[in-house]
Amino acid sequence: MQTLRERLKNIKVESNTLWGGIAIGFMLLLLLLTFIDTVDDPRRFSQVVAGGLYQGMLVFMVAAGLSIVFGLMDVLNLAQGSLLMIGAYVGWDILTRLSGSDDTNAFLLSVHVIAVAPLFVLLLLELTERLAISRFMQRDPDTPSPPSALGRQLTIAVLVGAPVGVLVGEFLASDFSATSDSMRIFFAVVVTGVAYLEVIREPILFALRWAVNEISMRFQRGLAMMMNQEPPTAHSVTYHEPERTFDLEMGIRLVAIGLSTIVIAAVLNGTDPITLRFGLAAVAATFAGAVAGTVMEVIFIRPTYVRPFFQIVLTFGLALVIREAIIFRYDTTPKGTLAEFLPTPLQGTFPPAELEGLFPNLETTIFNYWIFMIVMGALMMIGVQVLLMRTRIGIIIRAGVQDSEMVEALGVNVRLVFTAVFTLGGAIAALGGIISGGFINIDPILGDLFLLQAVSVVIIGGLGSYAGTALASILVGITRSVTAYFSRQQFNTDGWAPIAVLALLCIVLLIKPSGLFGREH
Amino acid sequence: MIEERLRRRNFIVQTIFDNWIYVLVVIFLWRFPYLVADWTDSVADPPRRAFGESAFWQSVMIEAFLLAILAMSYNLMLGFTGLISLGHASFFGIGVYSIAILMTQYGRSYESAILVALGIGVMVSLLWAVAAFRLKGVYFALFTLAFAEILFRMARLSVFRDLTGGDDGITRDVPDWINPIKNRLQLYNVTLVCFVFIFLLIRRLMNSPTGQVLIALRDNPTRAETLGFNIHLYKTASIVLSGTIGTLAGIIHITLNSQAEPRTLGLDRTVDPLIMTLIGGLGTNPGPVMGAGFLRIGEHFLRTPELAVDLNFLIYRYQTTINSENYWALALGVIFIIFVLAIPYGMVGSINKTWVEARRWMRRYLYNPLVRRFPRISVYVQPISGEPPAYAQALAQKLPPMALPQWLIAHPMGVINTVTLLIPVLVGLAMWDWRPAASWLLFFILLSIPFRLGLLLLNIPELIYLVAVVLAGGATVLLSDGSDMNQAVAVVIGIVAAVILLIGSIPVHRFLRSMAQTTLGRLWVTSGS
Repeated sequence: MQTLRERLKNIKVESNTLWGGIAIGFMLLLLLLTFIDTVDDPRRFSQVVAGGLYQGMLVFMVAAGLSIVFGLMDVLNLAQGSLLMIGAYVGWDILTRLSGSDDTNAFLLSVHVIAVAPLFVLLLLELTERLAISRFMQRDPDTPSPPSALGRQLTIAVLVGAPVGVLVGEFLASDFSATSDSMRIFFAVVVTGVAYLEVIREPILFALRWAVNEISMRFQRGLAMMMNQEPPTAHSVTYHEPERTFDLEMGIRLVAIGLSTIVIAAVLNGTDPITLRFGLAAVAATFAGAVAGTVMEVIFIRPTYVRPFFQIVLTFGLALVIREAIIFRYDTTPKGTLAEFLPTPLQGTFPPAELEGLFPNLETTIFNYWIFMIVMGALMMIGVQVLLMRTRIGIIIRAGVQDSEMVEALGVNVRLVFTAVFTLGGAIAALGGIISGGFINIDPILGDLFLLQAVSVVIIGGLGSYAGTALASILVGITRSVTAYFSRQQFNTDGWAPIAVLALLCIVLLIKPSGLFGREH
Repeated sequence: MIEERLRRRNFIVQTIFDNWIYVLVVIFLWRFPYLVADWTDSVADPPRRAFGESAFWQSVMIEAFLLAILAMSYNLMLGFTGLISLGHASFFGIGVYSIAILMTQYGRSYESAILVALGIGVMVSLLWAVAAFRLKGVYFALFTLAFAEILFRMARLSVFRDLTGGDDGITRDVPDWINPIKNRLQLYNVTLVCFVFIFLLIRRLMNSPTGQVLIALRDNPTRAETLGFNIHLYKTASIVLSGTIGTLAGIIHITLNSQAEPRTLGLDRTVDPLIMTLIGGLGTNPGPVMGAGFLRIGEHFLRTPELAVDLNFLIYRYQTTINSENYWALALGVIFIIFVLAIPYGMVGSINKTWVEARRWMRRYLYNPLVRRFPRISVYVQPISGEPPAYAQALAQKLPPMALPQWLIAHPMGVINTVTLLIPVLVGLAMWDWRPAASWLLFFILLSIPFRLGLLLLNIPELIYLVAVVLAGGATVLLSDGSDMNQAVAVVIGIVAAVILLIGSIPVHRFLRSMAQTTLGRLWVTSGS
């Protein structure tokens, strides 16, 4: 007969589950408190929840890179918040530059789309490769895939993407004059021709080889008969068996290219130029963040791997330098939000006026942009998760987190993986920057603001744990928005919100320094 | 033994002889207001209100002293104990705000408020110490960062407007005897005494067994614990001392500025001592002081609204003025990063390290009889650990030191750097006109670039080095706006740059050195010595 105490002792709860449960319970408690306080005003409650979620997602975008980088190489990159700031400023710069006259618009858009469309096509190619081709094609495991596949794809993508870009630019200019019509037709012909030639190249070659062989065999036979000799058999004739090299995969890819080209062209053609411009700015900002992250790793972090003591100090200094460089380039004056550049559907509130009849009880003033941010953040969470779990580099990263030296001994260039992780972290943070720019004032303290929250998230979630980071970012977002709500009610200020997050950080540090899901150091 | 003791000089005299450079510096700082008053025809201690050049320089120096105190306190934690603190501003701000709040809200006198403020500083640092029991390395750094940020945001909250004044802060005058407006020289002297006292305190501490344990904590905490030291106790001691000194810096700050703002709790107040400590030299006694002095005085000269740029010698009639207010923080950050990457031990640390290495090298090669007899063996000589054998020492004592020309051959880069930088400095000193000297400087730097590029093939840090040289040259050129004071500072910067380059070039070129050594040996052999 066990006493209750013994029975409780015997229940073995995984540490992760326990702490995750505590975190979720804390979050639910906060929400419950808010719910009780706002029971007669569901509008307020939904605002608090949505606000918490979107703040959490934004913080997640900075924290994701921070967490992976720390897990892989024990670098706490205190300049990660500055990468977000770089993204926001680059986005703002491009958006304000692009909002010139219509001609500039059309020109710049077409130029930018030339750079963007190939990326989309490449992405689609990779997706078809992973989802369709590799699943249904039985590949001989000993035969490696052709080495030039990627280069070929890239070439084709650029060949297809560039004219598509110009076409889109033409469409966007909404100038259907004779010149642009003929240009469009010209490009369409070029695109189709290239794609067509690429598809039928192998069958044509096959037919040619077959014909040459046939002719040569008949010729040899005829020659023998003329000379009264025995007609040669198939073995004695020089007969070249034509290689059946028709590349089915290539064909499928090309069909995918064609379809995606059509889809992209159709989508972009129907899209509002404002939306497209925002998308372009987002891509450019992401690119800038990726470049900044790479440069940071290669030039500054790399020399200090042997001196970890200086590393944290160095990243601290880098944050300062990036802030000052941005002040140097863009001045200290706040640039305001990107609200005026947002695509029209993102500018309204939810639910829209037409649907209000459907939900008579649901009177919310949730901005559509909040929903957009939440969806983007969730996509990013899933995307990084898929990257970590389903791809080769993800496997390497996870193995590197476990045991970096072993991975290196297995022949993986871990240095390169480090750089790749920095690039990825920079890209995500910068994307977070332009997305947050739609709602948050762009000014030089943006970096510090997000850095502190992201650091809180990473510590609370456990350094190096991706799931912990994802959970903790939502926890921090909810804590922030609930505190802001109560603080506004009680003290007429929302200054307590960041303090609550930092206090939460301090408490977690003192109770469980390794965080909710972290490894014990 | 007794005779030995008798032969020694008086203890005080001996101390002064051992620390003659510090004594000279202190005497200089004590007479500094009067010296400036003499140079600029102003009064060091005006009767009613502080005004004039001397009073201005006094306030600059007071700020330099308080920054040096803050940097020394920072260095005690980061450099000596190995605790990374990213929230040192909290001590500084606590000093500032405690005095202001106690004087305005509770009607305390200034003197009693100081005691209470120091007490609060001790309490807060005890809290940090409790955190340090559990947290190590990065985690402790993040705790301190969050702690300082919480205080910063609390100070800005409108809820506590009655107490802290919110964003506006509190203004409160200090009593007359130390008031910077009425009696600035007095404040200068008091700050100087505080500064010297704290310098001696930390120096004494680090020379004591306790200090050695702190250094052990930094270098190998596990080993220190295994040896039986109570590491928590020592960490607590270090944090409490550091926090109290940081609070003292805050107290001096509000005495000088008589205003408590949220800015004093902000991130910049942490970054400042961090940069100063790293530039001066992490884990050295004079390092943070030098860093603080250089940065505060450099800021005074470089952060002027208009700075003349005269590149006439390089580009025909290129002369312009730039607004350097915007560049200062950026330049500071870049200098900081260059130091972290290329000169991680700072100015003082590099000099110490190089001196140690140079001595070891001299023992290994120059005074090694084996090498002197068979020069080519120098390539195969293994690093000597510990003292050379007695017979080698005895032989080495009999041999004369190396002659200058041979020494110069052994240090090719040192010669190049010296020529590059010292000649222009000497020219500037001789002509007392910095413009031709600056052009000489730039000319020589350009001239030495091919040599440096050659060395680039051997090791990469030289590139960063090159950047440092060009920056130093650029800074000296920027300073040439014609006034005497600026010229003097330019000369000092030039000399410092030359010394750093001279020193820095010795340890990095092992390859060239051994080659030169071989050549040197051949010369000796062929000359038949």
